Order: sequence, then C-alpha cells, then structure tokens
Amino acid sequence: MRNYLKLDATMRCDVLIIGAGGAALRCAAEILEQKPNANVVALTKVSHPQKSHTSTAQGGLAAVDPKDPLDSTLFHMFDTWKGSDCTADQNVVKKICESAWEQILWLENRGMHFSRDPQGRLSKRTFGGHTRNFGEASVHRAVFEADRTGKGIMDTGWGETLKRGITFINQCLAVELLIKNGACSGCIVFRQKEGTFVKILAKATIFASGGSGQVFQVTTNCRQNTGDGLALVLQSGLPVMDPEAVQFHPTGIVGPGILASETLRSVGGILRNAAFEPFMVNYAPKMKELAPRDLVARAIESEIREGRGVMNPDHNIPHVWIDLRHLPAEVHEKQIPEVSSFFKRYVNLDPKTDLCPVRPSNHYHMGGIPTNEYGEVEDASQNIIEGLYAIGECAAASFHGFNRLGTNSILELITMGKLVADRVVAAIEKGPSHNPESDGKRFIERFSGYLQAGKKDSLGLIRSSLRRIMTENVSVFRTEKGIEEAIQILSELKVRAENTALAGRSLAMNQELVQRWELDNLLAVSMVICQAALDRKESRGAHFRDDYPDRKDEYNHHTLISMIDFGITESGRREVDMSIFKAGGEQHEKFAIIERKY
Amino acid sequence: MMESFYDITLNVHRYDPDTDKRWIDTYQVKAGRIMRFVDVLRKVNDEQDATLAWGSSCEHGQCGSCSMKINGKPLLSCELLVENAVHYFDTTTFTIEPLDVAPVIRDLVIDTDKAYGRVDKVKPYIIKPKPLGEKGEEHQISPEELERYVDATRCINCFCCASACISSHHNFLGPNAMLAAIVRVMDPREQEKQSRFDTLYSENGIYRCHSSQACSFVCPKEIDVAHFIALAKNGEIKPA
Amino acid sequence: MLASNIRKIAGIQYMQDLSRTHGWPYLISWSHRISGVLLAIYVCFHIITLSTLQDPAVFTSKMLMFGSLFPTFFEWLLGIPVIYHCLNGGRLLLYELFANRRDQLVLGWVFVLSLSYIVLLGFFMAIGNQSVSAILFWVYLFVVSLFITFITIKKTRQSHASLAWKLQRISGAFLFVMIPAHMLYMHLDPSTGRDAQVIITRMSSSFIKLVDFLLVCSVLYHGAYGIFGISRDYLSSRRLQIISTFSIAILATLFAWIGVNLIFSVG
Ligand SMILES: Cc1cc2nc3c(=O)[nH]c(=O)nc-3n(C[C@H](O)[C@H](O)[C@H](O)COP(=O)(O)OP(=O)(O)OC[C@H]3O[C@@H](n4cnc5c(N)ncnc54)[C@H](O)[C@@H]3O)c2cc1C
Ligand code: HEM
Ligand code: HEM
Ligand code: SF4
Ligand code: F3S
Ligand code: FES
Repeated sequence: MRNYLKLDATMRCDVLIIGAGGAALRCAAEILEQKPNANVVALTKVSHPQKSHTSTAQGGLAAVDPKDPLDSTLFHMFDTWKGSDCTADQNVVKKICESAWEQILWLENRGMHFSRDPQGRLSKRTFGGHTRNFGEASVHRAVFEADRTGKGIMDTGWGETLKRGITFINQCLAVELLIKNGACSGCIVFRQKEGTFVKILAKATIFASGGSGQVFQVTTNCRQNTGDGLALVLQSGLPVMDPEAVQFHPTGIVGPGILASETLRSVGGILRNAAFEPFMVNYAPKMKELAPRDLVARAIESEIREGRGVMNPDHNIPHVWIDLRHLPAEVHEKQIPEVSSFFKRYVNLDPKTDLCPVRPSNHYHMGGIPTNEYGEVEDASQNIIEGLYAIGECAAASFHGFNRLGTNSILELITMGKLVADRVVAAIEKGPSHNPESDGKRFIERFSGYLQAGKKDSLGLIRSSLRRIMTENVSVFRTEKGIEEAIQILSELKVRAENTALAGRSLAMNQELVQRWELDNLLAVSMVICQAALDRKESRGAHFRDDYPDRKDEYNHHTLISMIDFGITESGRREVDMSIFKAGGEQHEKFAIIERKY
Repeated sequence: MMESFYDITLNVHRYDPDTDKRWIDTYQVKAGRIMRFVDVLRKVNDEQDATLAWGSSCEHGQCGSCSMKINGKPLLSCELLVENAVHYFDTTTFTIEPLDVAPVIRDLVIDTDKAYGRVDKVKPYIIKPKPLGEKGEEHQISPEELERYVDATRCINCFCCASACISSHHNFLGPNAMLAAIVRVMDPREQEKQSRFDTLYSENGIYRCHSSQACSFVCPKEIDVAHFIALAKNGEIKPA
Repeated sequence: MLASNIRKIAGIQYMQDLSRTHGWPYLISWSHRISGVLLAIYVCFHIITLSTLQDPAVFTSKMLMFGSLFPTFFEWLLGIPVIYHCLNGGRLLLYELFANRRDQLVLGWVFVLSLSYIVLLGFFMAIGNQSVSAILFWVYLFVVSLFITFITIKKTRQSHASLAWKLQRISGAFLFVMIPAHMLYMHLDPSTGRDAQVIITRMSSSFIKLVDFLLVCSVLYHGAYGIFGISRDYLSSRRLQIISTFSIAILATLFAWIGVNLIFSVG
C-alpha cells in the first residue's frame, strides 16, 4: 500500500461551495453581501473561476421586464412549463420566474455590461419558446450581453465575490462528500497543483459543479464537465433525478461540437438539407427555426437519418447547413460577431458567403441532484440531507423538467443562487454546525487503486469509446436495444479502466490521474443515464424513444435513481409539483398536463 | 491543393516539479487539416505520452485557459488549426512553450493564480455603484457610450498580451489588468474613480507601456488593447 | 540557399519571426528603445567633447582625432538613429496624446521621411560649404519647436499622468524638430560643427546660448527619464530600483552641469 496517500490538512469554513461557475458565484456573492464576515470557500477544477463553463454561455437570459406591456411573468411560467413537457416543478418555476427581473437588476447594478437599446435601457431579444398569450406569438424576453452573456455573469460574480473577500481554491477536485446520519459536514478536496488531499469542514456545503457533457462525443460543454457532482452524490448513496433528460443543441459546429448559438436562428438563419431545402417548416410549421431545441435537434437528426444530410469529409460526421448568407452585414458584425467568427476560426468558412455545417451536439443536462425549491438536497425517500445544497446545472429542482428553454439556465443560476444563499445564511446564523463529522476514507482506496493498476492501456481511448457509444446509442434517438448495448459496453469499459496503469505516478499536477478519476465519474453518470433511459418507456422532452415515440401519462413523474454498485441501480419516483395548477388561479388550466406542440 | 493531413513535429518544453528538471520532448503527429492544437495535444496524450500536462477548458476561445507560446507567439491553442499554423509559420515544426507570465507548475501549465494576482490589484469590479433609478429601474447607458468601452469588456484574461508585451512581466500589472481598470473608469455606473487612477497611474501601471502594440497584435479577442491604454495616457477615459 | 543564409546572418529571419509573433509595431518599439539608448550615450560623449571648447586648442586636436577616428561616414550613420527616433517619437506622441489611430499610415511616413532626411543629410555633408545665418536658422526652427511644444503641453493637460511622464513627452515634442535641425545645421558647412573658433563665435550670441541651454536640458531630461523607464521595466528589486534611479539622476545632473557651464563660459 502506498502510504503517501493521506490527508494533509483540515480546513474549516462557514460555507463550502463546490464549484465557482455562475451559480456558485451568485450564491457566494449573496451570502457575503448579507453576512460580510462569513468565511466562504469556493472550489474550481479550472485554473481560475473565470475559466468556468458559464463563461461560454452566449445567447442571453430570460426575464420578464415589469415595464414590458406585451409580456408577463405568467407567460414565462407557461412557456417554461410547456417547454419542460409538463415535468417541471411548478413551485420552482413560479419562484424563479417571479424573481427574475430583480436578479437582472442585481447584475446591472454590479456592473454587468448588458447590451442596450437606443434609449439606453436593457436591450432584449427573442429565443425559441419565448411567446406571449400562451404561445400566440414570439416575444422579446431575453436580456443579453452581445453574444457573451455568460461571461458577463461570470465577470460580475467573480468581481463581487473578490470584492467581498471570498477564498477560492482553484485547480482542485472535490473527491468525496462527507455524509453521516443524513447530514453533510463538508468534503475531501484534492489540490492538483500541490498534489495534496485536504478535508474541508463546513456548516453548509453547496454543490454547484455544473454539467456532464463530456459523456458525449460531440458536445458544446467544456472539458471539465465530467459530471463529478452527480458521481459524488451517487457514491454517497444518494439518488440522481431525471438523468435521462439530456438536451442536445440543434446546431453544434461540425467537428469540435462548438455551439452555434440560438441567436443564429433568431436573427434569421435558415436550416437547409443536402438539397438546400429549408426543412424546418415540415416539422414546426408555425415556429420553424425558432421551435424549441429538442424539436429542431430531432428535425436535423431525422433529415440526416433519412439521407438528406451532408457528409463532412474532414470529420466523417454527417450534418446539415445553416444559411446566414442573406443576413445584412450589419447583423453579422453587430449581433453575431463571435458566433459567426467561430465558423471562420474552426472550420475555415465565411458565413457571409458560405453555407455552414451544423449538427446536434450535446448541450445541457436537465437531470441532476434532486433538491426542493430551496435547493436543499433530498435523498431517495425525499428527506432533506442536513447542510447540503445544490444549484445550477448539477442540480434538478426541477425548473426545466425534461427540456430546458434556451436562456432559462443562466436565469436559474442567478435566481437559485440567491434563493439558496438566503437559506444558507439563515442556517449558518443558527451557530456552529452540529452535523456529525465523517472521516472520509473512500478517496484513499480509490486513488491508491488508480496508482496501483498495472495493465497497459490508454485512458484516452477508453474515454473515446465511452463517448462514442453514448452518442450513437443514447443521444437524440434512443431504443431499448441500443441502450442495452451501451450498458454492456460501459461495463466492459469500467473493467478496462480499473486495470489501466498510469504513465506517471506523481500527485502534483498529474493530469492523467485527474482524467482517470473523471473517467470513473463519466462511467457512473453514463450508467445512470442509460438505466433511466431504459426504464422510461415513453418520449418526453429531450428524451426520445424511437420504440415509444409518445408521451404517456403513467410517466408523469420524475425519475430518482441511485447506484448500489456499478451497473446495479435502484429506481424510484418523485411526483411533479403542480401547485400553480392546483391553486386554481386565473389561467390555471394552462398549467395542466398539456400537449407540447409548436 | 489542400492536404487532408499534415505530418507535424512538436518540440514541447517540459518541466517536472518533483525533480525540478527541464527538458524538451519531440513528438511526431499525423494531424488532420482542421484539427486544433488542443486536439493535437490530446492525441499526444492518448497515443504517445500520457504524462504531458497542458491546460484547456472551453476549447473554443472563450475562457483563456489554453494559452501557450507556439513558435514564440502567445496564443490560444484551442483556436489554432493545424492547417492555419502550417501556413502562418510556414513550417511543420512547432516549438511549444508555456506562457512566461507566471511560474510553471508542470510542462505547459503555469500558476494562473499568480498571474491573476495582478488583475486582482486593479479591482475588477464596481467599487461604489451609482444607485439605480428612482423606481428601481436600470441605468441608462446609451449604445454610443457603451460602444466606447465595450471592446475592453471582452477580455478573457488569457494573458497572451502580457506575455507578448515589450515591458517584461517584472513590474507591469499587464495590458489586461490595465483594461480591467479602464473599463470601470469609463463605466458611468462606477462612482469611485480616484483609487483606480492611483493604480492606473502608478509605477506598475501605464508608465510601463511603451505602445509596442504587441498586445493588440496577439489578442485572440482582437481587442485593440493599446488603443485603450493610449486613451488612459491622454486622459480620454472619463465617462462621456 | 544563399538567400536564406544571408537572411539568417543579417538577422532578417529573426526580425521576420518577431514581427510574425509580436507584430511590426513591436519591432519598431525595440528599435526606438535601442536608438534612444544609443542617443543617450552619444549625448554624454558629445557633451564631454564639447566641454573642451573652453580650451580651443584641445578641442581642435580632439576634433582632428575624431576626424580620422569617426570618418564623416559615421556621422552620417548617426543620422539614422537620430531621425528614426525623432520621427517615431513623433508618431508615438500622435498615437498616445493626439489619439491618432491611423498609425500604419504615420508609420509609413516615418520611414519615407527618415529616408529623405538621411539622403538630404548625406547630400549636405557631401557638398559642404553652405552658409546660413545661425540666428535666422535658429529663430525660425526655435519658433516652430516652441509651437509644437505648446500644443503638446495643451494636450497633456487633460491627462492624469504624472508630471515627470508628461515632461518627457513635452521634451520629446520640443526636440522633434530641434535635433534633426541641429544635426543638419552642423553639416551645412563643416566648420560650423568642427572649427572651435566658429563655434565659439556663434555661441557668444545670447540667443544661441538660450537655444543650447534648452536643448541640453531637454535632451538630458528626456534621455534620463527614458533610461529610468527602461530600468523600471526590468528591475524588480526595490533596492536596485533606488540605486538605478539615483545613478541616473546624478549622471544627468552632472552632464547638465558640464553642458550648462560650457554654454555660459564660452564666447
Ligand atoms: C456554449 C454554451 C452556451 C450556452 N448558452 C446559454 C444561454 O445562452 N443561456 C442559458 O440560459 N444557458 C446557456 N448555456 C447553459 C449554461 O451555460 C450552463 O448550464 C451554466 O453555465 C451552468 O452553470 P453552473 O454554475 O451550474 O456550472 P459551471 O459554470 O459549469 O461551473 C461549474 C463549476 O464547478 C467546478 N467543478 C466541477 N466539478 C468540480 C469538482 N469535482 N471539484 C471542484 N470543482 C468542480 C468547475 O470548475 C466550475 O467552476 C450554454 C451552455 C453552453 C455550453
Ligand atoms: C528628437 C525628438 C525626440 C522625440 C520626439 C522623442 C520621443 C520619445 C518618446 C515619445 C519616447 C517614449 C517612448 C516610451 O517610453 O514610451 C522616447 C523615449 C526615449 N527617448 Fe526619445 N525622443 C526624441 C529624442 C531623444 C533623444 C535626443 C534622446 C537621447 C538623449 C532620446 C532618448 C530616449 C530614450 C532613452 C527613450 C526611452 C526608450 C524606451 O523607453 O524604450 N530621445 N522618446
Ligand atoms: C554629429 C553631428 C553633430 C555635430 C557636428 C554636433 C555639433 C555640436 C556643436 C558644435 C555644438 C555646440 C553648440 C552650438 O554650436 O550651438 C553642439 C551642441 C549640442 N549638441 Fe550637437 N552635434 C551633433 C549631433 C548631435 C546630436 C545627435 C545630438 C542629440 C542627440 C546633439 C545634442 C547636442 C546638445 C544637447 C548640445 C548642447 C551641448 C551643451 O550645451 O553643452 N548633437 N553640437
Ligand atoms: S486583452 Fe486580449 S490577450 Fe490580453 S488577456 Fe485579454 S483577451 Fe487575452
Ligand atoms: S504590448 Fe505592452 S507596451 Fe503597451 S501597447 Fe501593449 S501594453
Ligand atoms: S480552452 Fe478556453 S480559450 Fe482555449
């Protein structure tokens, strides 16, 4: 046994945030504003908070301006509910939509550089699924900062937390959650730069660790999105909710999968197939290009499956075209400069004169760590885990149900970040934590295992195989046979991974070691995605089963899935909250189980 | 006319913190035409040497984690296509070094915390915000006024500019730190200007800039950094 | 093969690589820096030589020695850093203070004008015996210089930069015409720059004394601040910074004293 694997130090703080993306920073800023002397520690896997995934969000965030005579919060709630395919929790939808504008003003007053209209007020634009009068016509509801809205939020959140004295631990991994008797006392952290393990004890621990896009081969997500949060929770015996709800963005740039934002379609970009026909009219006659993501993604995938796609010779990936050639130069230069420059930069094409290749790309994980409307994490029997919270993409409250509307995610970050902060401040004001401290021993076993394995193989190739099978069998279209095959392969890959020897055994800044750990997380997350997708014998939102193409009322609930051992899962369910409908207010019938058609 | 593959040679500067040794490793890679350098490095990791450490995150030029020097030019390795690199540098041999703005941790990974320390010094946030409108509505900033400084807000702190700057990295806070300070001087919502002037016009501030414009030249976000620093020099950074 | 070797030896390859990795203006800045340092060294040397004017015989013998040591050709070469630094300095003033963003264009002019000046200087050096009234020449150029200095001072008023920094720009503006004119004047007729008696006679005019006084003060201030700036770029230890600042200040004062002393004691 290698005895150099040990705990090097123990730290204590009031609040520990696992993550420093948009959700984490908003939450931390609020805690520090309300309680300036609080000791808040935030962890990142990346080299600096600003490098977090939220920085790449482009399009905007939805929020109804109370000054807007055409729009209303009710419409926003309806769009979200309908978009979720009736699986969002209405208590959460109500809370988030109602506090949206207030949070926009928070950002505005802390220096976010929103784009402006000619009057100097916040400029707004429309996105897929933003409608007024319950689907009647599209409406301008998203505020934005050019095509770098996420970066604006990150710069603002980072600045505010820096100003108020947060402690960041960059380039580290939360590797084990400390849970005992239904309460969380912190986590074990691996500091990559130093190669040391530290135990951090906190009165409140908040998960804000982001998405899991690296599960798929073509993804818009950053390299660090390996679903660590979900894996950590699963390892602690807690469930994950709705993992099968994975969103695919319809227009990833073929090759690297980089996102070609919704904006391209909202400013008038047209999707064309191999015969240059605009095909969206066949799938969503009214909304066409502006239909919600899953619809557009399936439309493109169908075109490709039915042989109307184009084969890209460089990547051997089939795709369709997005046509931006007819847009005025002004639009190219002012509204979509960064996105349209992506094409130039990554595939050497000029969108002003060339058709650009796009195809669906993994984008967002609606599923995540189950929480209540206050962000408090729940176990399989829906009991709250004391001292443990989750927000952002890693969490499922659930605001998005089975399909997220564009611009609703970063809205969720800043609203839930604030709401959870309120809760956390109240909790830590109660005095010292009485949560029983657990030791945290699993990490030693785990990392020793990595360092001791002795078979020659390549982690990179194992990871590629995982991502390929998940993309081919468990992405936009799913079938029982395909999912079962994927589960089989995942089990094989798990065994291969366990035996793979590392080339370097140093602990300090050993990326291979980190990737080995991440691979375990990818495997775990992939496995629950597969199991949940297999169990849900219907199609709902982004989860589309070729063998069960319709939504079924018997599945009007959330999936809860826990993992006892790799491949051995236990499923449960959670009811969908329909409090808006049940309250029976004006227009409440719009919040019944309705058809999702555009 | 266009090749679909290039046989390229990488000379990578390595550093091992455990033994404190520095050396150069050479890798031969068969790289696709529109592969990016991050893809190439990953290929090296997967197929040749899993110990080579380098950094990246978003992999599409939005986060500034993957900066390194390739044939002497500080750039984002996730934005450089093999084909473009071959044409630009007119060679298929590439020397890859870490940025020189902070100590190296391993291979191509530098201590970003140290580099950021200089940005932190200029307080990259609003120190004292102007109160919102009477009814709690947002501020009014005309698009023209925003246009004056909006480019400066696009910086992603990749530190390429700092690496290229003629002024070395001993004392200068760096072009990007200057930008961060200038943005808040030009932002009409910020009421506290004096303490920003104190840092901008300090010995570690704009006096270290000699308008060599290398910052503007290398900036992957195509920000004309030198322009903003020049505005600070002649005092045209007050909000309109 | 040969061509590529020549490129290597002449450092052209190196410069091309630098411009590819850092851009042309970066190379231009390095040249500005090198030429500035060269000029600063030259000026010190120049002042020491001139200080022997107090004893014309020594001066003449020095000049004779120079005449053989530094053939006219070298003096002509000196014109290159002089005119380049002056014009490029002017370009920097336009960029930094006058918010000129058509920098490429100005850069083009810097090269065209530098070349013209070098040719012109060479031309006058070759033909020699031109006679121009010192007073007329200097009144004219002095007024032009004062005008440029004045608008520069006006421009620096809205800046928050330190006085020391502004003074360097202001002195640069003053020298912008003065230095190229000085060099040109000294070569209109070899005697105006070499013959102790001619020089002493000229320097007995109080107007010329004034011009020389401003010249020596601004050049030394400008050069000293320039060297100080470079040292600040590289020296990070506080102690070294203090030592270097002191040394630069003392040297500059020393040379200023020698120079000024000469002006008021000669003629
Ligand atoms: C290209 C793109 C464009 C998008 N555009 C939009 C848009 O226009 N509108 C919209 O609403 N949404 C958009 N989204 C979605 C949105 O950006 C994300 O859902 C959101 O940013 C997630 O934020 P987060 O705070 O939850 O997590 P992240 O920003 O991903 O942050 C996660 C943090 O956790 C850290 N972390 C992770 N694991 C660990 C660990 N084990 N230990 C320690 N730290 C860890 C990471 O380092 C990081 O700091 C977009 C997404 C992409 C990819
Ligand atoms: C004749 C007109 C001149 C003009 C217009 C001029 C202008 C300038 C300017 C604008 C700078 C600032 C560069 C910077 O640091 O940002 C500068 C630097 C400098 N100048 Fe001059 N200058 C002139 C003459 C001289 C002379 C005669 C000397 C020699 C004594 C000199 C020595 C220097 C030095 C040493 C620097 C510092 C270079 C650097 O920091 O890289 N200059 N000059
Ligand atoms: C090689 C060409 C040069 C010649 C022949 C020359 C000659 C002279 C002469 C004869 C004087 C005496 C004053 C007078 O006659 O007005 C003088 C003064 C001066 N020259 Fe030059 N000069 C040359 C180049 C330069 C250059 C390039 C600079 C600046 C970088 C310079 C800076 C000065 C200064 C500052 C003085 C005043 C010195 C004092 O007062 O002590 N000269 N020069
Ligand atoms: S200014 Fe440009 S080069 Fe410098 S850090 Fe910002 S983005 Fe990078
Ligand atoms: S490269 Fe450096 S010298 Fe100034 S113009 Fe840019 S900061
Ligand atoms: S990895 Fe984000 S900029 Fe290259």
